[in-house]
Amino acid sequence: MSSKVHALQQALGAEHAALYVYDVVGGRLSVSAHPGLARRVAAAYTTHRGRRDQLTAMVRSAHAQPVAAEISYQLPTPCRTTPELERAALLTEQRCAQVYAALVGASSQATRQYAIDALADTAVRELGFGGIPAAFPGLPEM
Amino acid sequence: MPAPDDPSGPPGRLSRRTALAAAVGVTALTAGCKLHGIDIRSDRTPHPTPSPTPDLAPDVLVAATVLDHEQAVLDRIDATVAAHPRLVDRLASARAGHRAHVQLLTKAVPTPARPGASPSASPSPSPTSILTPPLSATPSASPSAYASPTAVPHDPHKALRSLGRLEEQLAMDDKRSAFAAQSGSFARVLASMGAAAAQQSAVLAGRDRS
Repeated sequence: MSSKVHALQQALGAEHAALYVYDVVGGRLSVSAHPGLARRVAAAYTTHRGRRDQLTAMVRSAHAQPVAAEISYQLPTPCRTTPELERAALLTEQRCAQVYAALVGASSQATRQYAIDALADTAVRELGFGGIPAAFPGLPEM
Repeated sequence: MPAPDDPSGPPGRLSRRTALAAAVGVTALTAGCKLHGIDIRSDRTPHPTPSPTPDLAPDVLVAATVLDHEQAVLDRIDATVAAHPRLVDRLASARAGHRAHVQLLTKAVPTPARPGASPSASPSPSPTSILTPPLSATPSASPSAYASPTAVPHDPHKALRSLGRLEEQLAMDDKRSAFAAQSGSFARVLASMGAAAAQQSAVLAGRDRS
């Protein structure tokens, strides 16, 4: 498998996991008590669902079989309280930032542009879930 | 009229980028076009048709360009803090971020072969730089937003908004550079810098919790 296809599959796997987490977070969050957070979670879900579909198509056009979603995922936090729900969303975005940064490095042309834009989008989305600006979003080694 | 970065332009209009690019260009050709600290030799494969002897000089030029932009934004932040000392905490993270970018790029770009070729060739800001009028110490011949000749606005809100627009411009330019970079690992770093500028732009515009 080429490094580009591998990175695409990693990104797709992260998006499958993100949808699972946002499904849980969206289901457990009180919309009336936290309307702003609920709106951001709903927007994130829509964005990640779109990305999952786009990445699925990109893997297919690279003549590979897109990785399937797992039946369930381990949640990044217990997801019982609102701060835990928000933190789960933040950790999910940070994980996505890492896979998109990796995809930037493993691709070129249209795929690289896609990954560059997804990285910036997910980095900004982190801020809506309690994240603070970083010098190198998506680069855990820096 | 020569292009803004045309080295054959009037010598007085030599920008830091031009000086740096000229200097690193020479160094790169003689030193094997290596960006220090960022391994660009291990992953030249992403491009479908790599030439047998890939020319990595373009990445050195990309790095010099990004360094110039990052330094200009850092200078503008310093000038804003000098004009509005109360904003120092508000701008601490942007300042630290761009400082980290400048440091990394300064290390990555080979040292200019001719020290003192231009007084602004050294990207490390002098301690007195924030005391000088904004950007006047590092004039850029580039007609971009970075060469803003305007002073920092007196209204702190306007000053923050002006910085936010600059961060937005930087985010776009960093992302463009990430797209253009030959080396995958260098592109990854540049894309991250673009994402960092996008974060700062969102914070300054109050879009971070919207």
